[in-house]
Amino acid sequence: MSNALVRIATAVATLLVVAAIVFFVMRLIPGDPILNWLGTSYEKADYDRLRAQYGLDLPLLQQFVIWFGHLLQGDLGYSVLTQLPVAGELLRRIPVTLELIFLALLVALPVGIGSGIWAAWRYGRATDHALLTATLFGISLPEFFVGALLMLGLSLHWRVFPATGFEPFAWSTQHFAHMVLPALALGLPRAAVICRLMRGSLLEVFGRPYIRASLAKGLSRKATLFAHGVRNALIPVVTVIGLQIGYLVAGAVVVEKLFVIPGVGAYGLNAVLARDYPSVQGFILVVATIFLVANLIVDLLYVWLDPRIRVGSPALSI
Amino acid sequence: MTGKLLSTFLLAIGLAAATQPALSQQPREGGVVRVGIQSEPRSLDPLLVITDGATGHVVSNIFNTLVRYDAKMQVVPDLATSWRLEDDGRAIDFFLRKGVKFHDGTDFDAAAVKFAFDRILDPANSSPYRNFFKPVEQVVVINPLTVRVVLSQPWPGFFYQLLYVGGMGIPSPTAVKALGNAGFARKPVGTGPFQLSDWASGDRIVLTRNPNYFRPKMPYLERLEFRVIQDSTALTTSLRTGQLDLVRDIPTQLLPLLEKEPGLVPSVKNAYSFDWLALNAAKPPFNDVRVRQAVNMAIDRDALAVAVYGKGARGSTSQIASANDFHHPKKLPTFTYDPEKARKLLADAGQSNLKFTLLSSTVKPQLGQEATVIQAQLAKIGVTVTHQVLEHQAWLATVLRGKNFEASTVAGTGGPEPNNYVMFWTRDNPINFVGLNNAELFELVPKAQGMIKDADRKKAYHRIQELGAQEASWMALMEVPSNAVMSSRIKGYVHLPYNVSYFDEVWLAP
Amino acid sequence: MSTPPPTRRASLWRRVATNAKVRYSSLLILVLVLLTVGAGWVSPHPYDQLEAAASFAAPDGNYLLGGDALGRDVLSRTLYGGRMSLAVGLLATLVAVLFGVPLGAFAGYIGGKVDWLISRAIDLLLPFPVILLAIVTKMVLGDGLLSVVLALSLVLTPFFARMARAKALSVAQLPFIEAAQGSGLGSGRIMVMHVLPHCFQPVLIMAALSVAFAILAEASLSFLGLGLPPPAPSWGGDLQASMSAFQLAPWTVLAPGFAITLAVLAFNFLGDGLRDAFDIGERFL
Repeated sequence: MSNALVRIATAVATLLVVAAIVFFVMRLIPGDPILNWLGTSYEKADYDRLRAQYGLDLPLLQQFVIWFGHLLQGDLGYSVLTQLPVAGELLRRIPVTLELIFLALLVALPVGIGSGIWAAWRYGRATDHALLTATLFGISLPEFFVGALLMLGLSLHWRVFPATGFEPFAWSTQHFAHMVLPALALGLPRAAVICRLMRGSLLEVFGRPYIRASLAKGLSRKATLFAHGVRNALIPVVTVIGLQIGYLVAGAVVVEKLFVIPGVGAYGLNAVLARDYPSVQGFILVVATIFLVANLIVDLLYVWLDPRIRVGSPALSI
Repeated sequence: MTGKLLSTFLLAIGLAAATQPALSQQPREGGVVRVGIQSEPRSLDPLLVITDGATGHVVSNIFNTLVRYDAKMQVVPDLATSWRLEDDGRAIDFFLRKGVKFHDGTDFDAAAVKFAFDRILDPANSSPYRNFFKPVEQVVVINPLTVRVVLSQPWPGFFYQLLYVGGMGIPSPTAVKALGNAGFARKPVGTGPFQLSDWASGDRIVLTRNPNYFRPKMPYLERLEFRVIQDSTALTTSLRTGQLDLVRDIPTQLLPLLEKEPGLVPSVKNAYSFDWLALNAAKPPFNDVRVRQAVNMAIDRDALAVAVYGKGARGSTSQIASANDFHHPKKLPTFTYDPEKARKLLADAGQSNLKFTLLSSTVKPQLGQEATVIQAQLAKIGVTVTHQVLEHQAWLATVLRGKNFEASTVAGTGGPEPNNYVMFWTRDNPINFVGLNNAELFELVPKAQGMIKDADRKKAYHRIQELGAQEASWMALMEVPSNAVMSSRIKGYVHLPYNVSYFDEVWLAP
Repeated sequence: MSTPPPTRRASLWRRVATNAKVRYSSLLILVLVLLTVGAGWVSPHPYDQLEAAASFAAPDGNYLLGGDALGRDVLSRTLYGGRMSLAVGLLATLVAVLFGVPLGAFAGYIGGKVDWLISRAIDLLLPFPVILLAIVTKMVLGDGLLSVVLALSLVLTPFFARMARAKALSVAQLPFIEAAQGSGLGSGRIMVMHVLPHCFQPVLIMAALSVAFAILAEASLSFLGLGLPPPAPSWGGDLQASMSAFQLAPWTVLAPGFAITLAVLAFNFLGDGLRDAFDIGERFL
């Protein structure tokens, strides 16, 4: 249990560091930070108020504490574009992006792990080669290209799924029809990566002594595979899933833009292009939180899967 | 004899049969029309609205103006049922429609009209339209249904100004006072056929039917949704898969794709609009008029037009579009493609190795393409252009408000009223962001506005265009056709070649 | 008389040289590099020559891969674009190697608090999505090559650092290191002479895979509008600009799309082949 606590503490500390980095980076942007926050059409009263509120005349460290205080209260400032509170806007969009990532994982994990096992089982034969080639392509195609091909194929050519847009969440075909293509576009490239990893990991496990011992005991090959191999082969794969979540979050930005899904990614992207700094700041913090939490969950999963691991982040155990 | 009778009879039947379908098409109530827009409006308050591609189409359905365009771009009554000119045209009495209510239930009356005018003219509100209405001296409420506008000089173009919903959309005074300007921008209240029901930032703006709209039975539609889709691929694909019903002003190159699609009806009109090149005369290098003229003469406008808008597009020959009656008959010198002269002018000004930054806004992709083509054309005479694309809001802040730029492509609108093309160029006008400073021009523009005789006006506007060409600071590049692509189910939509759509008359066929 | 058995190193390199994947991918990469570096000589047209009449022209004798929206030759643009995309990929990888490997090796070798600090920094950057980093660098450094390369380098460096650290950790425990330290050799020399050589093989593999990743990432960033500004030809940027016209003029999208896929495939394949030849399991990289 102390293991888990250590990891949670690490995650929280990391979040603090990210917040600090975001704060200091924002100060690096050329120009007056308050002007960057307000844009060019502002009232002097607002300018003075913000200046006082964030203590811009105080030493930098104190400024950080004040800013962080606002953060903890849920005040992420106001969007320069819409004058709406950033926290509120992001809160509205987080469930959308989370759902997208979840659905993508729902595609990536079964497809990736399943095909990885299949390829290993058929090692050296036609199926294995075919899967290797397919996955090589899968990791070489740009994500938005995959998405565009899916859109043009399954939406435009064969009118199976809607091309763009988003219907508010409901347990209905209407809602999910809009999520199929984005989930595929996001999940399939990840599935390719996971497939290769799973295959490699399984092949390695086959070389281990206890597998040979199981074989000697007379269990059928298939049983051995599932009983011992997969669980152990999953460990390194789980390690990497944490990393994959980072890629999923990045990919979500691309997919949200392409399929016009009003998630956190689309919000952040527009904010960057419009130099809406308060929104960008909020976006970075939210995204960092999402993937740190996701990584934490994966870390804890890792510990559960392999009780041999003690303190020390799996990322550094190699 | 019988043969002639028979053929006449058959002809009559034929005619009757031909007209039948038209008669049987009765407007159907209900339905939702989904419009795709490529940028999100920042504010829906007529006070501040710059009628760019997205905002105009939304705002024109939430608010009414005193007068509006009909299908032939003629001025017809809207909130004012009739009007009378007094005092040699220096005062206009508007007789207002009775029984009109705002979306919040309050009454529309002369006081509301006065409130709208006063709001624009009040310097504290910093409305970009304040200068457009400079000739308005005061607005007087005669009685609840009559309002008098007093002008400092006669102004024939006034009516064309009034139908710009940007500026002249009439807001509910109660709502404005209650919400304040900042609040009203996101919760607009007007008299229009639709009212704002939801604004999901970055996603869509939803307008629902106003049951108390003053035109009987209208609007027919239940709901109007404006979906923000910035990516052209997603926009055209959504239209083709039936997720959108109407899109305005798609890049011309993509029209062939949509024309092939059954169920979609394209419409292309010669517009009054144009894209133009702004050269900032307030700072180097363009504070030297020779440099400005040189840059313009190094641009092959016809080639530019075809490159960006396809075959059939034309380069501009003066500041006022050729569709407008006051278009200058001659091709003005700085609009002519003459690279040798350009080179010489640059040498004279000591700028043979001219370098500058050319900005373009993301509000429409053509602006960026124009900048790319201009960059290539200018390279031929040894000028180095750095092209920078700015997101629209950033562009507005940098160029329009900040005036902190060297050169930029700009999207412009026009109309049948010539003043629309030149109204920024008056003394101390905050929208004169190109730093134009020509005494004769500044005098002539307001004067021309007030001229009554056509001959005088023509002379004045021709002279204005000549001066503008000489100054070469705001120079039209090409005439921009306006297009609209809509689902064949949409009936009653009038494609006006500028950024306004009236959806009150629109209905959906089954 | 029998020839002496080949050294371990020689047989290793023989394995690399004869590995089919390595051979084919190296050839492909060589061709790509030659074509793009020599774009000035190979391209039939300048990449910015606009021909209004050739807008969306179908492939023909003049424009072998057709024309784009503004009538520029797609083939020429793709060749020049390759220069940009490959340069970004190689540069970012180079920076990551030059910073990451020494940093990681140092951390692993020194141990203690310094190691702890560096490890935490690596931990932080490792899973960071490249898009977030690109957003930050773009805001601080503005548009341009520098901000894109910096963002990509920041993403790749932790991987090299982590690997180098692990190698350093494994080597630092070996007895001969203690002997070397006892004999008075400075840490720096020990690192260079004994630790870094162990990193050579994995660095090579990682570098190949990193270039692949960087090219892909640049394309994605350009798609989002966070990459290199127009009108610089780049595979990602051109693809994004032409996407809406895919059905009208598919060649404008397919040319950069295939170019990206081909380059990325080549480097991935190279990494794969090297991994086979060096006999290093996939799960470590």
